[in-house]
Formats: sequence, structure tokens, C-alpha cells
Amino acid sequence: MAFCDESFSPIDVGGYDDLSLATYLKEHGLTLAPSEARKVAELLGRDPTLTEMTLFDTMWSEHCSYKSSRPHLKAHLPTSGENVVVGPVEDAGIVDFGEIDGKRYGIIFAHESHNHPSQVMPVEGAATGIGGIVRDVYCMGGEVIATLDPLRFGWPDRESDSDDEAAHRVDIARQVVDGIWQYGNAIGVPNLGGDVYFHHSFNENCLVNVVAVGLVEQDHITHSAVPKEAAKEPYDLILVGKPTDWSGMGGAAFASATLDAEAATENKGSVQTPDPFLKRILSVANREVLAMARREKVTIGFKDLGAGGVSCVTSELADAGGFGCDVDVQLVHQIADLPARVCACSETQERYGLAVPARLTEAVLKIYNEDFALPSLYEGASARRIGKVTVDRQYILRWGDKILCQAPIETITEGIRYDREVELPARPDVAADERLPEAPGDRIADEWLALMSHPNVASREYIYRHYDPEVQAATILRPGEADAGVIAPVEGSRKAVALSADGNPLLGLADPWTAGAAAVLEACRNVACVGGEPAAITDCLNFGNPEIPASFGQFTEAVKGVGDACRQVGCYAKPGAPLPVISGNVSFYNQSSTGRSVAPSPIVAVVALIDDYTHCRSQRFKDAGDIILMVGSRLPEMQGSLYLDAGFQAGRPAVPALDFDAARCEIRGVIELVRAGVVSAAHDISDGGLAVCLSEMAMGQEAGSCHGADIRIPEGQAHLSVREFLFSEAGGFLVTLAADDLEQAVDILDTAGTDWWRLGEVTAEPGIEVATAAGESLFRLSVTDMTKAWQTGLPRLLGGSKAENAVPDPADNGDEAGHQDPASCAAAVNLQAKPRVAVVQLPGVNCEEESRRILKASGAEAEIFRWTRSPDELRVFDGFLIPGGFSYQDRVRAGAVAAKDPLLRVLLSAEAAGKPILGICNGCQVLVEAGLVPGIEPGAVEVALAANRYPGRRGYHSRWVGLEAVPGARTPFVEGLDGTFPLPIAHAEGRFTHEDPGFFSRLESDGLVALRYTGLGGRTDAAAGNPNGSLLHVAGLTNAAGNVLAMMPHPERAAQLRHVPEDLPHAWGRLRQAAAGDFNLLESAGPGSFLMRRLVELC
Amino acid sequence: MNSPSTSRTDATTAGQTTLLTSHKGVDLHAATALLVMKDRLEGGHLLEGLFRCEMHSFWGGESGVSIARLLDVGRYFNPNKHHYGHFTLDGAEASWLDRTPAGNTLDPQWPGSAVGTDLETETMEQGRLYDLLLGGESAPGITPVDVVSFPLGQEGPVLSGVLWRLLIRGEADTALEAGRMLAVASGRKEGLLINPHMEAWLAASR
Repeated sequence: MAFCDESFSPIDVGGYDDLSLATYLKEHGLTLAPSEARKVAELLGRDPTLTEMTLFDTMWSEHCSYKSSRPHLKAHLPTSGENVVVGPVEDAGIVDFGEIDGKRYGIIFAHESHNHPSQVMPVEGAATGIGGIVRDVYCMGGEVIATLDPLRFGWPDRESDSDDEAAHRVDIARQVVDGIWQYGNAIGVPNLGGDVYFHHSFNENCLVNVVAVGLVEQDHITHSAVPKEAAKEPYDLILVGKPTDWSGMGGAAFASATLDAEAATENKGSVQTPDPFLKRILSVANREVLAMARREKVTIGFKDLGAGGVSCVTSELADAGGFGCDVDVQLVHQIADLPARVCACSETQERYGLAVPARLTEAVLKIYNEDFALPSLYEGASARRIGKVTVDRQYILRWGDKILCQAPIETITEGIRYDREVELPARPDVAADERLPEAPGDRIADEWLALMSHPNVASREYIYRHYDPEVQAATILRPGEADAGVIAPVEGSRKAVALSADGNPLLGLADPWTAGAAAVLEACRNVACVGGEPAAITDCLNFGNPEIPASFGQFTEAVKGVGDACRQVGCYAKPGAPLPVISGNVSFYNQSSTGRSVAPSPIVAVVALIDDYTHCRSQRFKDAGDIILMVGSRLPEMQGSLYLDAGFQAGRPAVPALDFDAARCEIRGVIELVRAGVVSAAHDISDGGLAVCLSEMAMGQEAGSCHGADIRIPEGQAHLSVREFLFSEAGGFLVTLAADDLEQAVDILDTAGTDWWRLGEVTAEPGIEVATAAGESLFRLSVTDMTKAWQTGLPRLLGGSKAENAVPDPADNGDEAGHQDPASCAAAVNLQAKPRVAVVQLPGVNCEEESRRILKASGAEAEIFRWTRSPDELRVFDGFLIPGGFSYQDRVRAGAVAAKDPLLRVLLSAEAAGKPILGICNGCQVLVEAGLVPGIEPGAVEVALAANRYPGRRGYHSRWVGLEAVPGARTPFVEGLDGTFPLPIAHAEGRFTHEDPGFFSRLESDGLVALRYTGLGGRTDAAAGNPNGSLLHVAGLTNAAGNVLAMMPHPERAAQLRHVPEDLPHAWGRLRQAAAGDFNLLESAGPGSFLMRRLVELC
Repeated sequence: MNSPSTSRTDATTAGQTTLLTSHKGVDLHAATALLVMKDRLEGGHLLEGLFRCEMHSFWGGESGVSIARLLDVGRYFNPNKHHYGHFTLDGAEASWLDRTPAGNTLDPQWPGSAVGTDLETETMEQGRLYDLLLGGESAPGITPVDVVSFPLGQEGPVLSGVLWRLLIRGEADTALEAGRMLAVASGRKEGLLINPHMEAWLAASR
């Protein structure tokens, strides 16, 4: 039992010599050095208990205390600015987003790493990385609106004949992706990007960084501190979430030590266990608690539990408010028989700590435990009062009457500092005229084509198709569409946020200062391409062992580079002011026991503000005849480039100098171009140089149509060799625009003070023709060939030959015959009265809010109906929508448990009464398992929705697909739905199936198949026509009466034109393209509006 | 915590090799299913308990995937969450991948001899490992009914599925029938664990 375990035992620190003390600490899973253990005793003035030593082990870890890095971060990084609402002092930073309809909003921004956990337990490690970072954002009082994942993996192919580890490295990459989608998709937060690099320096240490972005009304911001009001009235400390267990014990200490391959197995115990289902429930419940606090006009403290668990959250909450606290670990909900120190310090996931006025404690507990029924959803989960705030600045941790820890609170939280030795990296002198010998010029086209399938250039589609980019129905630009993800998070507003995360490990190896600075510049260039004005950054600094002077020197140089770039590029809205760093993280010890450390990897994420999302364009060429401009000079320096890393040779073997003044002008110039609405496509020049940039603009996404380009090397760049011109990674942009807009564009670029050149024109033919400055043709490359190489690169490496072969051939857009006429979907709803539609919120669904919003816009009085309400209250509604998500965590199987929920009895009655019911995605799975469709015998389970079947890949699949109503379908839901139309899918189990393959033919002839998948545009491959392997391409079923529609695609995510991807090879995509700049048109009906509106009409 | 390598046997056999993992703590899938089945299904009153193992099985020695690899890749086994048992069944040459056994009888010898675990090795030697992974020995008057289910159409070489143990009040013959009825979802009040339109299954009372 806990009260007699060794948690309470004082450690006779003075009685041990250094060697035996080190042994004792190691035996107890502690990573404190003997000198640090003695320092603990010195601070306390007595021998510490094992619990106290465990607490200090966490608080003094590199991960928590920044004991090596803090002085350098403080010295180099600008952290303040007029637009900074909360700087890097809490769980996340907040930057001003401006005023919308009288409310002032902020964007919350946080950045973390979960590198060591992901190396030893990739699925769990990556998942808990997301879990931790979104908690950081939620506890600032906001909603999480996006995540990004910068990832670094080991080389995905055999490096030599004796390399037996390649399969393991691929396993890690695949499982990290699995962890990200399994967690990130379930919590209902769109993934808007990140970046992926493969390099042998990550063979033993992958890097998994995570960025989370939130939106908060500034009046609603909560802080990670006990409020000052606690001096006037009693405050309680509440712990809510998962029951405490062993998982994650020592996680922070583990993250702060060199990763030893032999210890990897034993360190698996330090990796936390994620539960996105519980996180989703907690997130919705937290919203209610915070709303209640606002209604009661009280201030609360709110902080997530991370490293150090209960002891860390309570001490930090109290200390940040200037208080002390008294916490009884015996009151902490836990799995049975945990030692007290585990209960106090375990990093069990999915927990929050709150400081609330004692008079509100019961009301808060009721919301969690009764209104959201935590104990019935997850065994042992609950909200409990575990202590109280005190005014004496003492930190007391007890087990009933027995004291585990008692100390002045600042002693606990203050941390320690080290002044590490620095050895700066050498910068070799390279003569100005020194050049690497080049291969014959006629090989350039081959080199270009080879680069397109290089692991660090090839399309990332194989990875990001696992992620859900569209949940919340606010996404404007998705991964793969542009250099930055864009989301317009406030309904009815033009304001949007652009996000990008960047960092180049090859530059890190070449020169850490340049890598730090270049990461800032590239992130800013990326958001500039969509018109985003950089407002703030976060950084995650991933390095080797700080105790090694050379490693620490790499770190200090990179920090300096980040800071220098922030000051030089500046805050867009406030010229002259630095771009503030509002949050961040340092990850050291990314080094294996063999001594190999990762490439110095400063990774920067930027948040940028967009006043009018309607001007955000995808990076692909739009129209033949558009003019291509190059902004920014190419340079001969090639060190740190992908071209050299790929084994080719050209240029001066030096790192390109960064010209901050030029970069600032270029970024501002491009932002102004986009804001003026003259840009049809923009893309930054980075990995692979101008060649790769040009290719990525010409290639169609998802085998959509390709364009081409005729370019000529400008006179002003003729001093460069062709390779230097094409493959230099000096920063810059390519932008395209209509000839009519050239004059205005020139004026903008000249006013901004940029160097720019007219490079050529977009062509309809899918080929890139390169000519010298004199006009002599050098070579012509097939865009179709490069598309194939680009799209098959990663599927081959990560999914094998099956995945490679499943990649469709590039295709023409095709004509629009058979496409739905978008105008036919724009009809206004004509309703006599507003019908009441219930959006049934089963526990774990995550699309309820946008479904309610779209139904309301479609004319319904829509209401979210929580599962804890009485089923009788559901009967009064006129119609029902069962939204997507992961009801009951997909326990047993997707939809199976929800199908037995008492609320489904009401839906069976409603079906019999002829009321309309629409089930989307997980809602479709529920209706199938409940026997509402096909409903030949109502209530009987007659078909199944099985795991997706797609060559060479498994798991979640999100993409836009073509659909059509099946002729003869006996449901009014699809009556009048003519032609093919596009919608997004996002699911892992969407394959309609039956053990008798002929069964669906009978369903179809009986009119019970309502919707089926079709190809999009010119695509005829199996994937386009059937993205999950459904029998007969079925996408939706109805019942005999036709008043139930169960469908896997998401109409609510396509209800407005702005939801449609610009590059979609469909009439809807072309309408979306033509609507650029037209807010009213973009906010009007999209291809999913028909079905949402029809639900309302049928009520 | 025992290292997964402490008692692991990497040897493969010509028969069937099976990895079973069970949750160290509460298995939410089983706990939720038990509540739903007891409260909402016909025959649920006969159900006294429900346990679950995840199952990964392959046939034919070297042509398959070694247990060591299954454990090491971490996809199937998380030492923070799971216990595991590694079993071999000699002579079980016919892979379930090659047929669709809907409701057939599970071989009484399955999954065979225990050859590795993270639990105390005595549990293997005493033949208790299989039961231990499934909640331990059942009480008098309770018949364990084991149901192995797996998605139809898997291509192999590893066949993954779920082993459910239903603890049914009653004798073996009636318990087996009750177990099948509770396991196979056929309607809102009939069955939960298996959707027969996409899953195959084998069952036996123990």
C-alpha cells in the first residue's frame, strides 16, 4: 500500500559516495547526477524523500528546466511585441488576431517534440506528442483549430548491402504516421501540414515535432496560474481525466538522456499511453466548465498535466499565482496500489488541473462526472478535488496525514542552470571563384528527373492522406495544395490564418546558424505565398548532447540564427519590430549511444494573418499564357543543397549567404501581390531549387491535369551555370499572373524593392522547356514523366510495390460531360417553418459543431443533442443527423456500441414514423450496425462497413472523391441530384461489404443503393472510382422507405464553395478557381449543400 | 516490468504460431462490450464476464513472420499496456487465411504450447498462460466460451484478429450456443462482437 512504500523514505544523500549514489538513483529510475541530488538536499536543508527526489528529477530535467539552453534563448530570441498577447511564459503563446464582429480574438500557438518516445514506441510516442501539445492550447481557454507535424526519419532505403535496419526505419516512419492519424483524427482537429525529411543522421533518433494552433476570444483566455482572487476566497485544486497509472513515469528524464539502443526496450515504460477518445470528451466538457466560470464571473486557473504529473501541475499552478498549496495524493484517482511517488509524479495522459473557487467545486465536478459521464465512459476516469490553495508559499504533498514533500514552493519550481562549454562549428574558407566540377550538360534533364523521386522531394501525399485536414469545415488550403495551410476559423469572416513549419537538416549540417535563420525565412516565404503576414513564430530546437561542446555550439549558433532572422525579417504589421518567438521547445540528447547525433535541426513554425482568404491560391499553374516571374536571385553557392546531397555536383562549395534585406523585401512584395489579387499561383524556391519549384507548379495534384512552362534563363542570371540557376536553393519565389495584371505586379514588386525577373510562360502542353539567356533551347522535360516519378517515390519506399503500382497515371482534366452543374445546387431553401433537427452527439463524435452550423444555414433549428440526455427528449425532433467521428471510441468495431445506445431506439421509431435521418461517416457506421439501413428487416444487421482496402496502404484515408446518385434509388434524399459531384471522404472503415458478393447487386436492384463512387476528372484508376474497395463502389445506402440515408463521404465539409479544392479536376473545382477574390460566391453553396439542405426539406 | 525478450522464444515451427496480447489494465473494448451485452442484449443475463486478447497468427515457420519481429516493431505489443503470450501448435498446417470458417469449432488444442511471455515463466510451464491472459480460471458453474474472430479477406502472412472469452453461466453445450448468440451481431438486441458480413469466426467452450 502506498502509505508504507518507500516513497516516504528519506534518502541519506550524505551517506553515499558518488558512485553508490549514482547507482541508487539509477535503480530508482532517476537521471539526476549525484551532484544534483546533493544540491536537492542542500536546498531542502535535509535528506529528501524519494518522492521529492523524483519530483526534482523531473523539474530539473533538461526537458522541463531548460537548464542548458535558457541563457541562450533569453539572449537571442525576441519574445515581445505589440501583437503578443501571451509570450513564452505559459503552456502556449498567443498573438493578436484582430477584431471580428466586436470580439477580439487571439491565435494560440505551441510547439513540442516527442522524439525519444517516438523512436522506441512510434505509434504511442507520436500520438502522445499530439496529445500533449493540444492540451497546451486547450488550457489557454481556446479551441484547437489545427496541428502541424514536422517529421525527420532515418534513411528509408538500404544504405549498403549489409544494412539490415532499413525495414525498421521504414516501420518507424509508418508507425509515427499511424500514431498521428490515430490520435489527431479522433480529437477532431485538422492537420494542415508540416514537413518530412529523411536522412541517415536520424537512423537511430527520429524527430517528431508537433505544432498546435488554437483560436480564443481574448476575453476568454485562461492562465496556468492560480488567480489572484485566491487571496480573497478559498480555492480548490481539481484533477480531471484519466486515472493515474504507471505510464509515462520518468518521461521527462527519459527525454533528457542519450538514447541508448540497448535501453530502448526498458525505456518503453517511459512512453505514455494515449487516449484520444477521452481527450475529445474532456475538450468538450472543458468548454462547458469554462463557460460556466464566465457565467459565474469567476477566474480559474487551468493547466494540463505533462511531465511530473500531479506534483508538477499543482506546484506550477500555485507558484505562478504567488501562492502555495496542499495536495493529498490519496485523493488522486488511480488504478489500484500505486506507490505514492508514482501517483504524484507519473505522466499519465489526458489529465488537466484546475484551480477553482471552492464554492464552485461541486458544480465543476458535476459537469465532468455527470453531464459528461466520465466515469461511465472510461473506467476510473473522473474529476476530483485533490487539494487546496494556500497563501503561505509552502508546497505540501501528502498521503493523508503522512507528508511526501514539504518545501518552499519556489524551491520546487525554480530549476537549475548550467553554463555549458561551447565549441563553435568551423566555417571553411572557400575562394570566391571555386567551383565543383560539373558533369556534361546533357545530363541535366536526367538529374532533374532523378531529383523528383528523391525521398526529400517526392510527393508527401502517401503520408498526408492519412490525416484529416477538413474536420471543423474551416480549411481553405490543405496539405499538398500550397506552401502553407490556411484556415478561416471564424464563421462568416474573411480573416484567416496561414501556417507553415520548416527547417532544413542539410543546412543544419552545413552551418547551424544558417539553418536557424533559413528556417525562419522559409517559413515566412511559405506563408507569404498565400498572402499571410508573419505575426509570430515558435521554434523547436533539436540537437545532440549539450554536454559535448561541439553539439552545444551547434545549438547556440542555431538559436542565434533564429533570433537574427526574426529581428531582420520583422513583424509584417509593425515594420522595424522583430518577429516575436511566442513559444518553443528545446530537445537535446538526440544522440545514440554510438555517438551519432542528429543533424542540427532548428525547426520553426510561423503563424501568419490573412485579412481576406479569398485571395489565397493553390501553388499550381492555372492557365496557359500566364506569365511566370521569379522573385529573388539564384546564387552559385550550393552547400547544404538537396542537389549535392543527392550525389550530383555543381556550384561553389559554400553555404549561400543570407541577404536579410532582400528576403524581407521579397516576402513583403509577394504578400502584396497576393493581397492585390493578381497572383494566380505562388510557390517558394527551396529544396531542389527552381527546378523542383517549377515542377511542383506544373504537376497536377492527384493525377489532375498537368501544365507546362517555357522558361528562359534571364540575362541578369546568365553569369550562373545552368545547374546553379536550376538547383540553387537560395530563397525566392515563382509567381504566375495573367498578362493583364503584369503592370500592376511590376509596380508592386518595384515598390517593395525586390529583384525579379520574367522567366517565361505557362503552357497547356505538359512539358518544361528550358532555354539559355540567348534563347537557345537546352532541353525539354515531360511533366507527365516527372509527375509519375514524383508521385511514386514515397509509396515505393513506405508501401512497397503494391503502393507504387496503385499510383494513377497523370491524366487530362477531361471534359465536363456528366459533371453536376454547380448552379443546380445553389437554390435557396423555401421552408414554411424551421424544422427542429437533432445533431446526435454520441460520445467521441467530432463533427457535431460544423454539422449544426451547416444545418442552421440550411434553414433548420439545429441542436446538438448530448448522449446523457433522456432518449424521450429526442423524440420531439423533426429530423436527425448522426455526425462523423469515433463514437464510443469505435470499441469492438466502428459503430457497434453506439448502435446499441438507447438513443438508437428512438431513431428506429423515428424511421418507422417516416422522419428523415442522415448518417455521415461514423454516423453511417452506426446506422448500418443498428440495422436502419438497408433495413430489409428493420433492426437486423444486414451489411458491414469493413476496413478500407487499398493497395499498399492501410488505415485512414482522406481525399476528395467523385460521387453520383444511383439511378432508381428509392430515396428522396438524392432526387434531383444530377451528374457527378465531389465530396471529401475521411475514414478507416468505409468499405461496404457482405460475405455474399451478390448481395449488393440485389440491394441496388431494390433501389437501396443511393450513392456510389465515380472517377474524378480524367481519373479512371481504381482508387478514384473506389477509394476503399466497397462492393459495387457503394458510398451510401438508404432504407425501403427512403427516409434514411447512410453515407461515408462528408457533405458538411463541402457545403460551401470555399471548401472545394481549387485544383479539383471537376466543374466544381473550376468554379472554385473562378471564384477567387469573390467572397459572396465562395461563401455560397458547395457540392455538399444539396444533401444537408435535403435533410431539412424532408423534415 | 519484464523485458519482452526475457522469456521470448524466437523459434518458429512448421505449424501455427500465435501471439496473444491482453491488457494489463482495464480493456475498454471488453469492459464496454460486457456492459452493453449484459444490459441490452437478449441472453445477456447469462454473461458473467468478458475478456479479450488481440491475436496475430501465422503458419509455416520461416515463411511467416517471427514473433520477435512482431514484438519489436511495437505495432502489436506495447509493454505499458500489454501482457503477451507466444504459442505454437504443431501440425496445424491449414491456414485460416485459406478458408472462411464461419462459426466452425475452434480446435480444442488451440493455440497450442506456450513458449514465451512477459509474465512469470512458471505460467508457461504450468500450462496456465492462456487462461491467465484471458482473466484467469473461471469460477464453478461458469463455462468459458472462446471465440476467435478475424476480418474476411486478409492476405497474410500474418492473420490478425481478436480472441474473446465469454464467461457464460451454465454447462458447456448450452453455454457454447449462448456464447455464439451473444457474440454474433444479427440485430439490435442480438449479438455484438462479430459482424458476420465481414468477419469469420471459430468458437469452442473450454
